[in-house]
Amino acid sequence: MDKILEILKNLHPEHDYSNSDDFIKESLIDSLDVVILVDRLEKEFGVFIDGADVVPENFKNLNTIRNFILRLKDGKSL
Amino acid sequence: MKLNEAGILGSGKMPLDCAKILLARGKKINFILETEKIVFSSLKYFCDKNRINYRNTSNKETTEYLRSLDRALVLFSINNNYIFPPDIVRQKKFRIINFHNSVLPSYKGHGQIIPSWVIYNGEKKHGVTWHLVDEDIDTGNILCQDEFDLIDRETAITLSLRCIECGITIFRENLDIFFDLKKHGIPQTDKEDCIYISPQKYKVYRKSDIPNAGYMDISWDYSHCSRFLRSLDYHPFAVLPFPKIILKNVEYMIIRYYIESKGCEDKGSKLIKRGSEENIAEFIIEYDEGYIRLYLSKVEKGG
Repeated sequence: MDKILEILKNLHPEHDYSNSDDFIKESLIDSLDVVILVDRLEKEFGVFIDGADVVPENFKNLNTIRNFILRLKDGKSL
Repeated sequence: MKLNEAGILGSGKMPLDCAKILLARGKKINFILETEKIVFSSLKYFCDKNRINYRNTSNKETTEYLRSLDRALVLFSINNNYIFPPDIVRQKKFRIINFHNSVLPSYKGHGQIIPSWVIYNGEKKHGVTWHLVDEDIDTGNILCQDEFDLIDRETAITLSLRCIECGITIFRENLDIFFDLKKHGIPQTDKEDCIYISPQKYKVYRKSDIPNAGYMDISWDYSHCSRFLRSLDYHPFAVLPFPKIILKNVEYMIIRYYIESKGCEDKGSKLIKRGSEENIAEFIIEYDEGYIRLYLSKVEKGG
């Protein structure tokens, strides 16, 4: 979780990701951030993220990103 | 005479960033029409927060909405694939300004396929244009442009992002020109200098015009293969179909590729699509300049 938060904080240090339930609704990430975020998550966690999995449900908040990465590491995806 | 009110048509981050600039500079935004719904767009939330009329509209609804307007407005078309009908373009009350991700008059057409062709054609420079809209596609007078160098290992997604960044920067710098009715811009026919090298640069590209119809040719040299793979790479978004290759009469989808230069420690690598490992074949092509490693998934008949 800390690593994910660190990646997000590097994107936008001014945003409070820890206390947000919906990054998209609160304009904390946009489509261009997602491109960078996916690249960094792949490198940090050694996973491959398929375009089909790049949906708001997986990137809604810290918990959904964490669960998404855990599923990928377990060889599962949505 | 200067206008002070605007409407925006488009989708995603770029119209959102431009809207923020307009508000910060004291311009009134009457509406934002999101003409294509894309994931991760927060345009609606931004509009709700700033009390701007927001609608997610089909082409027909967009036309009806524009025809219903009776105010003098600057209409910004930003990452917008809606084509303005002639009767809207001819209305004197509208000053319609479009963002295009090339240095016009070259590389006209669908914005999502332009970065692909720029990379595939081996261009060294690229850029963006804000121009007035007339009755043809991307042919109106140029209000402002900027250009930049392509970087090594540029992909369709990285080039798209850099175009957006460049477009927003010159949007901010040229805002006064956009709202000044006395600024008519430069006719594209008056532009003599050109930054592009490809003879195909004057084509009007449709989204379905994919480099080599989406098929990699095993006989190509290293540079050609590299440019082809990078030109279709919009990872992590599925903007274009996955590239394909035919080997011994069998068709494969290229789900992942790595481009490795000899003597270069920083190996470029990109994932295009995950597949189940048992169905993936690895295929390596060696050149004097380096290696291209492909991960292939057999295309099933009818699939």
